[in-house]
Amino acid sequence: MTKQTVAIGGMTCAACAKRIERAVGKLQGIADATVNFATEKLSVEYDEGQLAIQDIEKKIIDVGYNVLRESTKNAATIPIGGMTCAACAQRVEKAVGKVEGVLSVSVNIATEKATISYNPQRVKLSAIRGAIEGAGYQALETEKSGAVDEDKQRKEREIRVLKVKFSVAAIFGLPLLYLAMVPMDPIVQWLWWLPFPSILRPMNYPLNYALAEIVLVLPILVVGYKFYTVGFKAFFQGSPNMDSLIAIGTSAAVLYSFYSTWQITTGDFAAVDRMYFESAGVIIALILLGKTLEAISKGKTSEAIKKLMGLAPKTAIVIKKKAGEGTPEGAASSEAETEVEIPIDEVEIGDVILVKPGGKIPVDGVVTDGHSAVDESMLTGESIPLDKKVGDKVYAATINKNGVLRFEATKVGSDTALAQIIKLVEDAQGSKAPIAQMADIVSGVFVPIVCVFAVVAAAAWYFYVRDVSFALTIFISVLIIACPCALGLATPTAIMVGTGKGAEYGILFKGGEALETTHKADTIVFDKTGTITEGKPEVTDVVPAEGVDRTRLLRIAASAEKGSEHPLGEAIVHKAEEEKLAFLDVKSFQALTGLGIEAVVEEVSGDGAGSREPNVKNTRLYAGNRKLMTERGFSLGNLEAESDRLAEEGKTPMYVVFDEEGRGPALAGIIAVADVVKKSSAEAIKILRDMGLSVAMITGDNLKTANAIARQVGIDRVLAEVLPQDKSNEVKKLQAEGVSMKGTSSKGGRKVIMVGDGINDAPALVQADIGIAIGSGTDVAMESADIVLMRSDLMDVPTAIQLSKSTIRNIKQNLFWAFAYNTAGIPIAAGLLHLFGGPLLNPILAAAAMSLSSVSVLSNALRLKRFRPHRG
Amino acid sequence: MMKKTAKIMTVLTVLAVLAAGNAEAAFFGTDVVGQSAVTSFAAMLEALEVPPAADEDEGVWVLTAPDGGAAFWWRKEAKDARMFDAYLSFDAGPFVNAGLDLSKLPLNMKGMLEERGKIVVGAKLSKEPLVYEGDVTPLSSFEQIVKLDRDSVGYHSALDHYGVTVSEGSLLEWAKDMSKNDKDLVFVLNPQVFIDAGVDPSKVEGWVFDKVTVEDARGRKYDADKFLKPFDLK
Repeated sequence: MTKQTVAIGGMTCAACAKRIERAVGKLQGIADATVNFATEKLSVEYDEGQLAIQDIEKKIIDVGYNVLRESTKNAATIPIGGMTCAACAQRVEKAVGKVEGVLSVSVNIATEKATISYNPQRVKLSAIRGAIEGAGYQALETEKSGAVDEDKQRKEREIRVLKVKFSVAAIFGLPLLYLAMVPMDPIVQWLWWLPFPSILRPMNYPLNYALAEIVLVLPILVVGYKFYTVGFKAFFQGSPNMDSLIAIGTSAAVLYSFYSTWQITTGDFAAVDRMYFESAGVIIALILLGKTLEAISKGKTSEAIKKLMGLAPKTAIVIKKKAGEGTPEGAASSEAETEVEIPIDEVEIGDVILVKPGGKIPVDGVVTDGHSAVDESMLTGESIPLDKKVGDKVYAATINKNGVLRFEATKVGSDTALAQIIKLVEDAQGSKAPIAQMADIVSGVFVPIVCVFAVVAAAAWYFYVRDVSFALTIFISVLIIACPCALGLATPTAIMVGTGKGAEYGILFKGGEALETTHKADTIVFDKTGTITEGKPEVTDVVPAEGVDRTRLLRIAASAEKGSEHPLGEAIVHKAEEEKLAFLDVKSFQALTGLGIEAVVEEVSGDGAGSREPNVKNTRLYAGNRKLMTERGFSLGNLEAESDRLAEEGKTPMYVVFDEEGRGPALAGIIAVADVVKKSSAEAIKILRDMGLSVAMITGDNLKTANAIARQVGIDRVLAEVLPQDKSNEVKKLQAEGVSMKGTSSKGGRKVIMVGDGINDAPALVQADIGIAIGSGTDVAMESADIVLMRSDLMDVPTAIQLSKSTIRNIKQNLFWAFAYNTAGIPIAAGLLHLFGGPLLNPILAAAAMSLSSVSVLSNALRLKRFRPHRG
Repeated sequence: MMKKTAKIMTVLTVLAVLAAGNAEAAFFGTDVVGQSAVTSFAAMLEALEVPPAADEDEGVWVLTAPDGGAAFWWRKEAKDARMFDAYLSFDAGPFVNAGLDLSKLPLNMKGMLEERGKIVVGAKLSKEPLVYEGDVTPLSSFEQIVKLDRDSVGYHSALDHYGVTVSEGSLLEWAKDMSKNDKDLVFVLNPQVFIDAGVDPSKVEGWVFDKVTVEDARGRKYDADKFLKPFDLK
């Protein structure tokens, strides 16, 4: 299966999105097709063996929409040396033009420059330069090139075109409205001071009046032609959309008005009262206004992602060795190196990059030279710059504060951490939340139903009042007010703003579903080590058993733990290093999952001086938790009380058993390790409890230690001594509990959020309704999670839940208003109020209300941008 | 694509305009009311039992109401010599009987009062001379009036009438199509000046006091009180 995103043009409402989903979904080999109306993108999963992306694109075009190619093209100007005539220019053009990925090339012999447009994803500039060199010319230093974001340009162009169209419609629409309304409607009598030409008085000069209206409406129809081309096409293909409603409604108005004009010429001057040119014209003008505001607002909903994209620098300074000037060993002397500024797309893995103080780090890499503080706040939200030295990782878009850094590029292009974050946010913004399903279903059937309803309502009124004009007013009003744009925008716009806002806070939601489910959670489970605590435990006590030397205990344990990646093991190793103990050889090592380790350490006594051979002794060692002691039947002996004391102090006792030849296994001592609780843990947990969530902690650590940590941070429910493989089971048990913390029965059991960082947390993260991986965590944890926190600060957990709640509240508000607008608007437009002596909805007011509904939904979604987390 | 569609739309719309207007209206004039008003005025004149008579002393044509209680006068002579080009005259008696204080009427309404016992409401339509190309007939004179002051002639959709305004709110109306109308000729007076002069409008004999939907100078429709003297000429 292949996943791909296709940008689509020409959609105007949720019905369009539904239509494309249906059409593409019917193709053989499609596993999933989802269209996001707000981002105007189709996410499709398909079997490449059965169909190609071109087939999908063709289907989209067949149903009446455009496929927008989302390629980013770069432009570069390369001065060329060695050209002598026009033939040379042609030769270079030919050579460069043959390079795959080159979109266009033009060589100017006068300026001796080649202007090249190319796809950076398919060809590197170095390859183009190579082609020039290969043709026998010199490719001189590349001049500054600019990346062209076609998508951005397209959207800006779309807004510009819409503005022009609306301006034209307004320029002609206002006099049209004035002409139509001043003689008709007492509401606009306050415009008495405006001149009204006597030759346009409808009862004295009805034909003049009609022709003037035609002249004014014509340009509006021309700028609004797309409503007709798209709308009628969709209608005749059996999938009417918003454009269909506008096209049918305004066409009915225009055609009937033409008929009335014809009647005037035949002597029926009263037909001047039955003209609706102004309705058609002003409806189109208002909808164009709505579409313009919608396009501008839509752009604002994706500002967060644009901000992220804007973080990346456009160029990088790469250290290049001058040919033949390297030292014999291959090491470049400073004289042999040059600094070349190249476009970011040209940076390749392995390039050595120089970043000066204040400069942005262009790609991900590992520091090879220099020392500096790097501000990573744009990625992690952590405001304090981190010290970077040789061997440390640096990330694209972060800022080098004070020193000069050289680093080797390890990840470029779409592999950098920044690119991954952008992709994650983009994917989330393009995804659908379950709450959108209802809106999708409704908008899918809405338009055809409205068409039928409009006909029925108009027919009913015609038979009731026997007035074609009145029935036509009803028909147009119902069609126009019922456009489901607001319904289609309600969910995706809020998700776009919500996920974008999350990214600003360093909270990456992996999809709309995660964003929605998070707010439903009533229980939250934290992993202890590395999540509640710093995850950097330190040895606090080394308690040897009677007859065991403290240094020997620590040395053997540390030597064995050297092969372990467990933080507790690392703490013991660190302690031994601190005490400058020499490590022993380890003959064998085995990690006992959830228990500890088993290893054989070789001890050598004597120095082998003289005739005596050194005494080599293999000691089998077990180091681990209490469960290990129980499972293997090791006795704690007289260290049990000491063990309890350490655990109650929140320290983790690691029991070390030596199984020496001829002696059998015996407890050699306890090494206590304590992990510092993160500064923000207690505050975050208090906020979560205040929010009504039940907070639990899960750990493989012993109960006493776990309880001590839990007490420190205010957690009252502790799941201790849980093996990694059992963590997901514990989460499952919590989910099965049918009682929420408030004591009310919860129909579907608890909704559980699991927060963790380690590989061992991954199954629990998957099992939980929502898995949250914290920033310092492993890649596996981040893969398994639904939400990734870019920092290690637990305060981001309540922020994520609050953001989810705000977003869902916003979606519900949007849906309420969208539904309320249609639910109330359609009966009013159908003349329900008029039936009881109330007013009749003018089609123009229907159009204004319809445009306003979309704009109001978008404005409400944009309110989310003001989201601030509550801090207790 | 856009240009092509725009062109098609433009051509279709222009064709629709041409189809909507008949050739005469589209190419030779758009004043369909002006043209049709003259035609129907002629039909109304034909239907009168007593055709309009020329008053050579006054240089006007006189259309007398079938009951003799009112008349419509319009300019016949070419040169501009009169105070009014078109006016209505009617017996003062019914209004006096209904409380009219003649001293309160404006002077220009009392031009025929002493001599003929009639009140007059009229309008100076133009200072231009009437230019006749053929015989001078009641219709050709009326055509000249339409030509000189087209704005004084209009269509009254509420009654399906044409009308010529002789004073603000006072006019002579005639049916656009007499076969579909029972009020073929209507003398219409603005009652306000009479009410201000003491007339009880409900007591004016020979005139109907009623509300009629009319339109103002900007085309806005509204209901106004009127004295009406309608006649079915069939």
